[in-house]
Amino acid sequence: MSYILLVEDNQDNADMIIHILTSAHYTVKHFSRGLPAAQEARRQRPQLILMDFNLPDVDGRTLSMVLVQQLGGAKSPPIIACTARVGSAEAKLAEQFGCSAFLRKPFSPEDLLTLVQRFVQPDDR
Amino acid sequence: MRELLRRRLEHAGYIVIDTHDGGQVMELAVGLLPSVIILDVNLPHVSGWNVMAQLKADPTTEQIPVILYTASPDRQRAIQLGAAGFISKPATTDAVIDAVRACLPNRAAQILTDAETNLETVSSAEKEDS
Repeated sequence: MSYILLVEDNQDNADMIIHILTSAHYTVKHFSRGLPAAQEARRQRPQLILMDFNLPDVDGRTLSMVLVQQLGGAKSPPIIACTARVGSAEAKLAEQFGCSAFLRKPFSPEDLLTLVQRFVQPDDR
Repeated sequence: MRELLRRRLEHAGYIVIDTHDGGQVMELAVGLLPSVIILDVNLPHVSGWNVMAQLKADPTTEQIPVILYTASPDRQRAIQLGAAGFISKPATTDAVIDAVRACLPNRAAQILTDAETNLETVSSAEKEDS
């Protein structure tokens, strides 16, 4: 099954993202903690990962690096980092941690869909 | 020491996830499947020996090499439990890094900027105040 892996500990944010993506015909699996999400990503490879950097059980930056390594390096699914932290340095940092793109919270549905569609098309389901 | 070791390992090209909570080691190991675990025996909340036994009893983690890095003199017990390495404190960080490399003979560590390809993940569980 093709799907987008959403790792987000804030349930309200997760609900909003899931609503936006499922309305656009994407399949989403949501985890509020990073460690179970990593297990799922290894068990069933996602097409795309949306990663909150501030997770309760593990640092999202480090988890991104680990998943990039474990899911094939340059061939791993793209990771979009989602964080409320501001500043251009954060975007650069996300790139250094292996993320393909950076989405700053708060974001609009259009921002999210535009970015997701750069990597995955709904028709890819 | 823990922070110094972490920095040295990262400088050597490894991704390091560390914790001072022995109760979190299994969760981290199952979730992240690190290439190597560096484990202190004298952890708060739970004995490192127990953590070691749990790691070796779980099919998900039993193959992960564990280096015991500890002031405990009980090398024989470590070997019996399946430790891949045993380093007595006090020891240099170089000794620990050498032990990590010995556990990963076929995979040279890359510098951090090569994180997309060959970085190894090293979990370190050590007393916060050590």
